Amino acid sequence: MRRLGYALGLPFVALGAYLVLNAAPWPALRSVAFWFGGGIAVHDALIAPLAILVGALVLRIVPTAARTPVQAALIITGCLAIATFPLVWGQGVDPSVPSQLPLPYGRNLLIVLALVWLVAGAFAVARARRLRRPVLSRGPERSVRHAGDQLVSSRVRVGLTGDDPRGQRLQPLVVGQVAEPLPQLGEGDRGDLVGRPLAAPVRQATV
Amino acid sequence: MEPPAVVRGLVDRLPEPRDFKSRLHDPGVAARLGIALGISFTLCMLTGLVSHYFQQPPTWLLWPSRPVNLYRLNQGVHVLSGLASIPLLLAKLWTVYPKLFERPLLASVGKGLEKAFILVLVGGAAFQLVSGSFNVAVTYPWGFSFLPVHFAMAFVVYGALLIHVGHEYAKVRQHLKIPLVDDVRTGGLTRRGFLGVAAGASGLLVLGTAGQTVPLPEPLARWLSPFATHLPRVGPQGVPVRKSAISAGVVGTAIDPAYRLTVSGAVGEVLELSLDDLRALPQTTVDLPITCVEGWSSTGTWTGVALRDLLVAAGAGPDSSVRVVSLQQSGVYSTSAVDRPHVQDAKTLLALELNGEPLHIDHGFPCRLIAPNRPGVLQTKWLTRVEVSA
Repeated sequence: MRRLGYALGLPFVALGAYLVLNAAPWPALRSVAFWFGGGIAVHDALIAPLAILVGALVLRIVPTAARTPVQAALIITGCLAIATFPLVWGQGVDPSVPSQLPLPYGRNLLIVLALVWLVAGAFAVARARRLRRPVLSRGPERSVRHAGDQLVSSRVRVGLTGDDPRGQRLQPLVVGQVAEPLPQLGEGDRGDLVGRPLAAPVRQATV
Repeated sequence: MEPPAVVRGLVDRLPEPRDFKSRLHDPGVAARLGIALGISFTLCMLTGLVSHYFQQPPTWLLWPSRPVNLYRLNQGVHVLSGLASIPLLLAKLWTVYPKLFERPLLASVGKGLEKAFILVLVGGAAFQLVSGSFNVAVTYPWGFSFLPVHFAMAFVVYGALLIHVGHEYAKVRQHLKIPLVDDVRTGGLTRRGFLGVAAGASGLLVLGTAGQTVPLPEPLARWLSPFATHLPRVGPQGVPVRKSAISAGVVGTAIDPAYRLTVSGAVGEVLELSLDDLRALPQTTVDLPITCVEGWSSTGTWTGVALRDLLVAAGAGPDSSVRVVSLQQSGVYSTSAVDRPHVQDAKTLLALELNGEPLHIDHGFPCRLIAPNRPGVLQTKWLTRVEVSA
């Protein structure tokens, strides 16, 4: 398949490069190169690191119940903002042609994003309610028993913790055995367990 | 030669692929996004080629004048699939972002070549989507000519895409067999969820823009098309405009009472027709869309002289083709060729009226060409000459 790919692709690239050189003689070529490299640079050095930074912040500050909808809304926000930027920027508006770019695109983007976040919020609330319903145990029960760097008990309680409306921490939803050893865990450390694969059987506890 | 300490320090501090912990950096996700992008880029390429050769047909190619809405569909698909590609490309690049930090950069010649073409693919794909989305917003913040460069770059991108597909084909097939099943308890996006969100962002963009070519009644169109660059019912006489009489520099000449439309060339008798002469000829009324290359379209009811009737009146042969010339003094679109299929189509008019009124000056008063299945830029406005060749 590689050879086929090169056999089909190389003539296209060569023709395209030839056409680009013809379509954009120097100094226009400089501008083509700028926008070609600029796309890569802006994505790799700005958009992607920013997305990762925001993603890390979400993991840190957004409660578990709201995580999925917040991530989804953030992705949609970023994509729509980038894709509609030329419209929102509004440089194409020509007073002699009022029917061209007739809409308030900045306002429209905000309305669409507000709706997106409204839906995300509704999902988060619904999910939080679902998570809160099975109250399992209260109090300072330890999730992991731990001695130094050694995991003493592999039978741990893993849970989605949400904040109890009365201020008490809600404890585990799922009881199971962790399939892999868990180094670097502090006593009572639940957060790092979340998402670890569990060895079967996993019991969905309801009390 | 050793790089300076500062550079080495920076390189040491760069992350490695395994530092990226999210489960969304996943080959199964990349494979599925890649397929979606392969489809949307193929649609863009094909419709782009069709549009290019509509506008600049080689001598052996005669585009049919029917179906009436073929070009409209072509451009709608071109612009909307390009827009839909933006979130898909962003999602794809994010998914494979850790690969950027694979070291060594050039493990082998083959690997180096593969990476070089990925660089071409990413740069070119971004270039096409960015330049395309700026173009539909009539914004040109660069120092090159959009049309030929966007056309040329498409070949670069599509070639690099074919090479990339060649490299990834086996891997993609393998990964498609593995279902994406994730632990949902962590409360973060699953891989499937991520794909759904990327598709959702694409869908929102397409839905929010499609109203520029799918006619909806006002004010519904306004509310369902927040990102439309034109609304099909908004403009002089209910039809949008891309170029005004002011910017074309024809305001004075278009309303001059001495205006004449000249029909010359391979004709029995050269005609010099005033606007009243044109109105005195048999009138035809048709419903036809104006279809902008930038993806919007709007259907109007046009009344005027059928081109083939005019040619009969001038004594031109039945196999004539035509070049129409605008009052507009300069610009590539001040003139256009009308080939036989369009000349002979009964719906091809030299229009004098739009939606029951004399043409608004921005629609080409006193007289414009309107023909079925034809790019808007070739529906030449403010006609002054019809040059006939046998």
